[in-house]
Amino acid sequence: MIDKIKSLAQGDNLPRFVITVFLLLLFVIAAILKQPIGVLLGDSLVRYGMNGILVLAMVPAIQAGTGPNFGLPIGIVGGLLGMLISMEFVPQTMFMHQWVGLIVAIIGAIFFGAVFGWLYGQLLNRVKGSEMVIATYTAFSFVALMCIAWLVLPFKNRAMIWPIGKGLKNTITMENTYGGLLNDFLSFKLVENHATGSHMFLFNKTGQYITDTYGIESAIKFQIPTGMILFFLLFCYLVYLFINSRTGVAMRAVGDNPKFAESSGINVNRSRLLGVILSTVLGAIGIIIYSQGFGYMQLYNAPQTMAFGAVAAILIGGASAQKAKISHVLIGAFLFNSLLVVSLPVANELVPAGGLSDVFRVITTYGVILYALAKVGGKTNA
Amino acid sequence: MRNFSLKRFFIDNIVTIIFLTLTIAGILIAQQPIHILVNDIVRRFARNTFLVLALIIPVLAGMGLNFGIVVGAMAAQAAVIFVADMGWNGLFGLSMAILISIPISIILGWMIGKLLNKTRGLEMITSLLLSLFAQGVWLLIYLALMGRFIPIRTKELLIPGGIGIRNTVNLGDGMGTGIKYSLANLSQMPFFLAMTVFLGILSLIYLVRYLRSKQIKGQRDKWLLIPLAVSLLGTLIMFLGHSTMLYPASILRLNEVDIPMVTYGLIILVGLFVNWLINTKLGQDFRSVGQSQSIAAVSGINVDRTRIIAMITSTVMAAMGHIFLLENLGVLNTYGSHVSIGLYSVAALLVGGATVNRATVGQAFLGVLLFHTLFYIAPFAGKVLLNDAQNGEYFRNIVAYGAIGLSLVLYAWKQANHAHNKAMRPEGDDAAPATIDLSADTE
Amino acid sequence: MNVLEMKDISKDYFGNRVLKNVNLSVKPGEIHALLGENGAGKSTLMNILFGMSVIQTTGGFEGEVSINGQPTNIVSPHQAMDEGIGMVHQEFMLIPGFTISENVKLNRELTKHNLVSAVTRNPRMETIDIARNAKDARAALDKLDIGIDEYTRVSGLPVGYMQFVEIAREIDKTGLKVLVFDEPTAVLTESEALNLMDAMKKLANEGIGILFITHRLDEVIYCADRVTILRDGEWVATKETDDTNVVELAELMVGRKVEILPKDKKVAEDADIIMSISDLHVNMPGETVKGVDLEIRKGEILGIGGLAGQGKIGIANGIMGLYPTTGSITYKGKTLKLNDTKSTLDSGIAFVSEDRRGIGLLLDSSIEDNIAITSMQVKGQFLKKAGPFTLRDKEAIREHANQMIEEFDIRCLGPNQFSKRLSGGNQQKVCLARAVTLAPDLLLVSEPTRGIDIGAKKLVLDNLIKLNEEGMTIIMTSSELAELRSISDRIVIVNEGKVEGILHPEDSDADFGLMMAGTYNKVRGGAK
Repeated sequence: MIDKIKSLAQGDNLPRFVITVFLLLLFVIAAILKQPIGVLLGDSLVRYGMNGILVLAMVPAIQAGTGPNFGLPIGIVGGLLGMLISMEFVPQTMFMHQWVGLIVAIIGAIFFGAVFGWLYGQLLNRVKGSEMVIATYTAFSFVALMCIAWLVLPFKNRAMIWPIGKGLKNTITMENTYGGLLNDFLSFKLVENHATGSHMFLFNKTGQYITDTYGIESAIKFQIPTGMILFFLLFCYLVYLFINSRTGVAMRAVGDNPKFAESSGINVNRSRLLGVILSTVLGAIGIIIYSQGFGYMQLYNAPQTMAFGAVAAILIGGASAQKAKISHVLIGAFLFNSLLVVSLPVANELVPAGGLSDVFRVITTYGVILYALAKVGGKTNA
Repeated sequence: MRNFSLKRFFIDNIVTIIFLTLTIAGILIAQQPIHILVNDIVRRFARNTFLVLALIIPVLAGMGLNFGIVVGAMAAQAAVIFVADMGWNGLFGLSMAILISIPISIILGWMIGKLLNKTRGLEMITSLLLSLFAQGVWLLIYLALMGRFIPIRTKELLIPGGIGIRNTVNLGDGMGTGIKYSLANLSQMPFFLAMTVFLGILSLIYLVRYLRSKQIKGQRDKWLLIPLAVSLLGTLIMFLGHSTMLYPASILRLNEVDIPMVTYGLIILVGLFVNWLINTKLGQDFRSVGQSQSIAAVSGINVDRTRIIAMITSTVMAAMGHIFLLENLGVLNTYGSHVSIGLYSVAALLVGGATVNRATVGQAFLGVLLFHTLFYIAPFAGKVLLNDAQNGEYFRNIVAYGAIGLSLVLYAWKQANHAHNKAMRPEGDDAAPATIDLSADTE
Repeated sequence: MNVLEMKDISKDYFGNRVLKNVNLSVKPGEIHALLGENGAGKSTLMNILFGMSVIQTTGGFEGEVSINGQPTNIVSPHQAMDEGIGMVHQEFMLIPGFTISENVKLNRELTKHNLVSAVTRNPRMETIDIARNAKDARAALDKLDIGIDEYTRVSGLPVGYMQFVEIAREIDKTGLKVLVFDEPTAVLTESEALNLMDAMKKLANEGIGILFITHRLDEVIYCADRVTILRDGEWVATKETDDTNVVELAELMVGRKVEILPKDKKVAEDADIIMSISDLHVNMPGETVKGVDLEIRKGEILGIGGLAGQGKIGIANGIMGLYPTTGSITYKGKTLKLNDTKSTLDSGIAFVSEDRRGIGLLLDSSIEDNIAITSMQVKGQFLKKAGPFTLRDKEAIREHANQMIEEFDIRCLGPNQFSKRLSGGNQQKVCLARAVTLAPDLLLVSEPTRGIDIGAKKLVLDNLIKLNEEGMTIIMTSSELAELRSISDRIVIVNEGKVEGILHPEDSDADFGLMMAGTYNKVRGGAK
């Protein structure tokens, strides 16, 4: 029994253990500070659904042996392209234009994700052993390159481009398209009676909060984003099916031990390529779900550091740089996103200084990744 | 002895060649007056070179491109903020900032070294993520703790409300208050005179190296005659510019550019220091460890300790370099000044022709010159080409990230090809050494 | 007086005795050859001499080491160096990016004071004295009559020269008394080897004691003064080379009792050829095959033996297409596609790798997955339809794994235990089960008993015999001659990447010894 508890807090599981304990602690503090726990939980679920597929995108990459996909922004750019195309060509007068828009965006995302993923996978197959740093800088360069592309691509839709000057806007609202579509699909609201003296946090459906310092005694509604969660779970199931197929088993063998795979007649490079393409496509679809939950698409430099959060989340779930399972995604995405949601009001309450929530995010994200790296590189060759 | 192959030269220096082409094209397109261009490059060179030199030792020690110099820069920021808080001015303030930054950066460098010894083989991604992680810690201290748990005397430094340091900290007016220009103002010379001096010194260095080459290798290295001749010619050209009116007026306006002699002298000294360090026993150990950790260990070199020393050296140099950057900039961006240091310094070094496992002082100088020229010229060129300066901003990012991405890919590619070629070689020499040398005839 | 004396040396690793009362002495100015098969205990003996940590951390050793008559307890390689013992490694300890001079003086660089070092008194701050280092390197190279420029980078040198750089480094160390050459000629051409041995003689003439580890018998006769032979961790003999010959040495090196397991059926000499190999070249690092011609008869167990590094391992890996291969292989009358593992597997050939943990297993996967995965990939077994998807069939895999666990007597906690938690012997059984699951007609097994205990060894060999009796043709590659002789029908001995000859299990020890040492044809005159 004690051994079992110990094993929960060791090795790859340590971040999960630490974060869980910390999260519980935050919830306790939040309760003491009379924060609306229900709202925080509801908001955690929203962020969970929004980020889930981006975290899921790590699974094929890690399983195929290319390590956590630090090149996720490449997929994200593919998803953005899909969304832009959908917005440009799906008129809002169309029947069920929201669903059509979403589906067109996803189809576009799959196309661009596959093309970019193929190119990017070719690159990674040629730089075996230094995938992580190269993935990072390839993604950075690609995002930088796309900044120019956003300025010059010939999109015409007035909702997307700057009224004066040229190029696409930095953030494009999706209010009139499929923003919040999945969040609201089959969603239901819970009401929490909540009376506090001082601070109060209200959340809109996009996960942003509005501080109400006047202390209105009020009933706060919060929403369970059923559609988005279902969509996320559907994708988890699809990936689960894939990794249990013949091809998926081969891919995992390549990630585990490429030499073994080779001696079993498996084409190592093709499996790795497949893993990378899949990861990139999931990244592309992931950003669509993220954006529709957030209500905006963010172009230019926004995708640049998005990989790190996803990597941190899956590591928190118990994955390592070489091993990842769907359960790691389910657990990690929840823990990480809840942490970000709950730490925000607590930190603001304890240390009223601006931007502190970012501190939590940054320290957790990079701290967890560094911990995972220290475990991979532990093999001394001296 | 050296067989020169144009193709090989081109492949080995592809990054530098691309950037040289881009820079020249940029200059031609942007059509900026030459004295304004030079003035800007002179400032940028003064600010950034020290930091780039800080990258050389870790490269030689096999730890790759040290994105962790951001952490060293944080030590510098901490020291400078402290000095600003104490109200210390001028050279005294600058010296105090350096003194304070040294112990901080030694401790931080030691910690980074420890971490990198645990992440062997993944040094670059680790140091990159470490710099991002450190930014979190920095935010925590300077945003949440300063003024609340850590007392600050100068209230102007704080955000109204009393907690956290302001976004920008003014480092003086350049006339005596604060540390701004405390070094630059010491001695300034007009462009042509300064360049005559520098190129003269350079000629002298090459002359000495040429004369000493006989002592070391038994015969004089005639290849040194080329840089010697070039630098002598340069000296002459500059001297003519200084003493006569032979050149067109637009070029003579270069004399309006003032060169901060002490700053430049310092940069030269640091360059010489790095070269000296490489030639010490410690430097040889860095190189041995960098080439093969296992062989170095078998030969009795304490690999882990040597790597930590390399990291401390780099971090301390980065801290000093960043202090001089701030001195020259005059403004400290509390939450941003240090962030981009890693990116731009690494990019500059690579543009100069360095690789993941090879870097020289000369490459650092060349790299800073090319990279920052391009950096400066990009928005102007963008404006001419696309009628939009914004493009230039983005172009800067492409330049920086692209330089790093390209270099890393080329390096990994070469390594993979080398291993592949070895495996495909029809027969024999099975026991050829496992470590790969990519620089066989590029020196 | 002996410059080096090792007396009554015994050593065991975790109860497994690898050295038993071994004696070895080297006189100043003598070339002393140390001869033995792989696993005879030579490397353990050298690890003891050099105070390697692997000895210290496993409980030290028994016996006494004396240098110049002084009993000495060497506990680190550094101390060995201080005592004047040097080694020329088989795998070069050279930094390719450095010059010869830098390599010769590695971590022993001569330095001179400068301003900083004078003030700080820190020797690491002293400047490297390039000229003096080069002079030392020159002197050492001159001693070996090597004319190459000391400023040349090692990366550009031919292999033969690298050896000399290593030697130069050793003789540059002051007070060198004993120099150990660890199979130095293995990677050299014949003329390079001659050069090297001449250099050894020259060094011996200067009074240095030389310990020459080798497999090559004619080299022993050519340059050694005395020779000590080890077998199975025991001292067998020490002889003056003038009093012996290659045939005797071969016999001493190999000779041991062989128990030949009874086989019910003998394969007729004229049985059908199931596979014929011609001019096979395999570029497997360390085990290069350089032109092998071989015919395998249907239903036989063909043993492939030979010393480490000679290429025997490369043959099976080449057939499987795991390393770049040229030549031609005909299998069951059809040409086998080379360098294509998938098609080899498809044609009904299975492989159990010599590198069990590196290639043979998915260590972080369950036993059942390990057993099933290759068949799933190659033959599409263990799959089931689930709507539009085809998924792995957990039940079928479980059932098959349970059956295999019983059949091969795999001792485990159950089919879902991770394979890395199994003992070596049981891991080997999993590998075998995986290969058998493919139901091959031809099974390639490499080093099936390496690193597993005696009980498991017997089980594995019995299993091979059983499979063979059921009609499977088996090619077994092994470093253990006794094991090959116990179950094979014929034994191919590979030397320098080529077939030296084919023997029967009953043939004499001397024949096996000579073939393994590559001197059979010279001594016995022509092939069998």
